[in-house]
Amino acid sequence: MASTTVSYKCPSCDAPLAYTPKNGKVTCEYCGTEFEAQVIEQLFAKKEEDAAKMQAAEDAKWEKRAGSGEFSPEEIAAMRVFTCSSCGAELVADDNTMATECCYCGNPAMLPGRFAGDIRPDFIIPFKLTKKDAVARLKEFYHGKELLPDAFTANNRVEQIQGMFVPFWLFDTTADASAIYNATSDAVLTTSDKVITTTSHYRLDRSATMKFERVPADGSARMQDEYMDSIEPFDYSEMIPFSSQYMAGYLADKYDIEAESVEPRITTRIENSCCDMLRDTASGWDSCAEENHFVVKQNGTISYAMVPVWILTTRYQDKPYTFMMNGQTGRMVGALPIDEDKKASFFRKDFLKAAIGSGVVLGGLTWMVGFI
Amino acid sequence: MVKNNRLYSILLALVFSFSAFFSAVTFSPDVTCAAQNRQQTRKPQKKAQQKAAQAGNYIIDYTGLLKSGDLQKIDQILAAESQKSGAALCVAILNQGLNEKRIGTYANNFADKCAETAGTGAIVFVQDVRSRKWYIATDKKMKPAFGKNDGDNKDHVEYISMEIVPHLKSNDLYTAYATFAGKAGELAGYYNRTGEAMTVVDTTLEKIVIAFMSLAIGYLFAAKRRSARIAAMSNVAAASGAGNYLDRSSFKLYASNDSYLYQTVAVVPRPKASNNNGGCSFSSSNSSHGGGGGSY
Repeated sequence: MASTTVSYKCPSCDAPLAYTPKNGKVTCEYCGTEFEAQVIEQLFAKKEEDAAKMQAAEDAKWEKRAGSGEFSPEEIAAMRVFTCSSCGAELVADDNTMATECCYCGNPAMLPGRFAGDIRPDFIIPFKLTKKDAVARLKEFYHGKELLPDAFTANNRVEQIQGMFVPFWLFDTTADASAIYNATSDAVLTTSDKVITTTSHYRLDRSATMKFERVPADGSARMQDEYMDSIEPFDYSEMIPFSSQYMAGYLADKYDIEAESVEPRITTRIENSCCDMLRDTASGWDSCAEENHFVVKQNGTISYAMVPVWILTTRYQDKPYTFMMNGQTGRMVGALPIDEDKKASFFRKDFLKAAIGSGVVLGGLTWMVGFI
Repeated sequence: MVKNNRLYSILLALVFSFSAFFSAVTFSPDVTCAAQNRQQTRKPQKKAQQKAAQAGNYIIDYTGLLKSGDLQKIDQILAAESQKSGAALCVAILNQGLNEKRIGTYANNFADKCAETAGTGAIVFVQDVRSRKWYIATDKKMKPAFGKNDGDNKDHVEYISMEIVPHLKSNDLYTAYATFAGKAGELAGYYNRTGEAMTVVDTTLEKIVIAFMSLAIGYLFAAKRRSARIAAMSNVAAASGAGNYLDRSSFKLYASNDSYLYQTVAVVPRPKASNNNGGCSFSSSNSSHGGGGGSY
């Protein structure tokens, strides 16, 4: 019987396969055999097709069970049951899961029905950094943080590390931007008894077109927008057409926020950058203030890409702390806890140092100019 | 006849000389100083001699600006302050158009002569009504009353002059000289009693201001550092721009017009560089003399 999931297993020893960022190949963790991603894709194409069909049949069954009343309609709508192709266990995943791992046997499980047809991503950026790199980067992230509680680093254990492909919308557009500025230019004439400042007022009109390529916005409701904005930018030169083989060994969600919903965020970002560019052309004035601007986006296209993110979770004083690392560039983002005692102590020291220092300097200066 | 005339001239010169000498040795430092001034500044003195000089024991007026009664009153005030402070406090009013250097030299000589005559230290005030300059000088003995170092000299001169010059400007000479007597007497008296120059600038306010400024700077610095430290604990922030994804080579500025609209003119008066509010702006002080002067 066909399974609703596909486990990428080594054709040689049947052990699980996983994508290895270091050599860019799909590797068997047991026997060490390495495969090109395309080879694995061809190898498992049929299985994925069967798994997708099987899933459609399972979804129909699930609708039947909904009548039992054990789950609310919202819960049922959000959950799907899959069968692990390795151990046969039933896996429950939400409607967005594209790749996960079996909680019983640990095998990576791909859910081909979630990346087929119209919802198939256009691009994928493969993981470039490993789990080990993520842990090392987290340690580096702690470095130099003066308000970090000592206990946080001393007893810190990363509870969970997950490599995850996050769905992103990439917006390409050409923007036509115009702005009007009020600028002034001063000419100062100093005579023996007065200073005459002649200010000439100007109106500056600027219009320009500029092209933005693949401005990203995450399409996952689970991911906080600020975190996803913070791990930018991505190096799109390493982005390749989507292939599910690169997701082997990682979690993946399909988008659950439509591109139209994130467009206002993108529009604001593009407008801000347009204004910055136009403002740069109005230089050399003594003062320059924007009166108004408008930006029109043209020829917009949207593509759908999966980008790699390492998610690290740790716990301090029963509170979870989540850090995220760009799986391609290694940029680590997160918010660390603050030691209030250290904060107060540093404030006192800084205050004393600055007050004494400035007192000495001011006293010295006053003495030098003859006030005392 | 010629012989008789020559004899008459010699006789007259002897009388003037005797009179000057007699005046000098009896009581008046100002008259002695006037004689000294004749030697030092011959040309201007000729002009001064054209007017009748009024002199008391401690004041000499070559201009005739002071009424006889006022002169006597001022002389009494100066005499009283001189006696009280133990230093000769003298005033000379000139009409010679002396420049900064010459009025300083004149005042130094005047101070020396006054001190020599009185047998004490001296602080003198010289005013030239033509050049509108004034100068306060001390002899060597009273120089430490204006501070040990030359750098301190200015504060003590200004301690006196700041009170006097406004009265000079309003032509209230009586009050000006009476004020000089009081202020100079205060400095001289303090020095004679303690052997140290009086502290003329009250630094309490400055110290309080410095303390408050230091505390404020300390607080601002510490608060800024605290903000920076807190900010460093998180690098999570929403993106505001899309500059990383802008193809800069695609930027085409197709309209760039700068239109002139209008012009405004603002005129701000400059503060005058010269200090004519009583501050000490020049000094002829040397190892034997203290003091300084200015304009009014």
